[in-house]
Amino acid sequence: MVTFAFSPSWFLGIDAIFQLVTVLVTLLIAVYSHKLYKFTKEKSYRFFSYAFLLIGISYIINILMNISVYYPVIKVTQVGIFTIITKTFERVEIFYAVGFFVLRFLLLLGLVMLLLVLDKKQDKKYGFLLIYLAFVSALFGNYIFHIFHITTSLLLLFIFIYYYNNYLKYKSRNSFCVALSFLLIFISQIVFILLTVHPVLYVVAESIQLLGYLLLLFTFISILKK
Amino acid sequence: MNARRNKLDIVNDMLTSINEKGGKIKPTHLMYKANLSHKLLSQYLEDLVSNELVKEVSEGSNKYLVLTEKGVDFLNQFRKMKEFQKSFGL
Repeated sequence: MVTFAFSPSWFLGIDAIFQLVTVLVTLLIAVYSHKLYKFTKEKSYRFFSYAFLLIGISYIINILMNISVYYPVIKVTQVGIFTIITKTFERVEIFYAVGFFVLRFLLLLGLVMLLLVLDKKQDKKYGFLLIYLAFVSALFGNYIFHIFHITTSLLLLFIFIYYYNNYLKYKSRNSFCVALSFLLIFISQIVFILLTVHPVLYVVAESIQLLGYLLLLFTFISILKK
Repeated sequence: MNARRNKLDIVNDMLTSINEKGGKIKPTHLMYKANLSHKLLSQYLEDLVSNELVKEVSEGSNKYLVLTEKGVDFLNQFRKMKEFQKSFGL
């Protein structure tokens, strides 16, 4: 989940495939969790489903943004008796700004919702404060991208700590895999913070993130196969 | 058995009890195995039979409760749900 400009040119398109895997994983978990909500009527399943749905939607928008951030402009110029048609690609600044704000906000909102569901916090003030933090981070993320990644990292760190404790409680392979998945996704966000050092870090971050979501998919499949 | 079981947990306990007995059990045995009162057993049995998770079969003078295919499917789904709940910390 990064600004388009940081990606090495050879990696464009490959990152979209990586993110497509993320979309698939998050939507699968969202759909299954929603199915469990219908079955049990337990609110935790509903909000868990919404959290993964928001994360999935943010990645869908990210893929679309990366594809359509440059659009073709056809210019017609008359030079004497000749009509010259030129095709150039220009970036749509407003579309870019709004789109990236929306995808960042949705991702942060998804993570906030996930944290609230896991923490089982009933205090609305705590929830509003986190949503406000997500909003501000998404808004300023358009100008200083570090803010967005630092907030994402912090939320993922808290989620990882929760899952690590969950693993200590159950000591099962699946709970270990879920904790490890979120640790990998957290590490990927740390690497995203360092993007300005070298463009290859974008590839490293996307790869670690993909590994995290693939592990989550592996865990999900192994649960359903039992 | 957990003292604070919800409806789904009770249904699961009942179906598991039948399954552990080879898919067929006498109502009295089920009452003890699932730790239910006679009144609760009757209420839940009505639900299970109407939802086709269990069927009542008479063999001579004895009445048995038999786990259906839908009942076995419920047990599988419930086990997966519990594993999902544990693994994802819900």
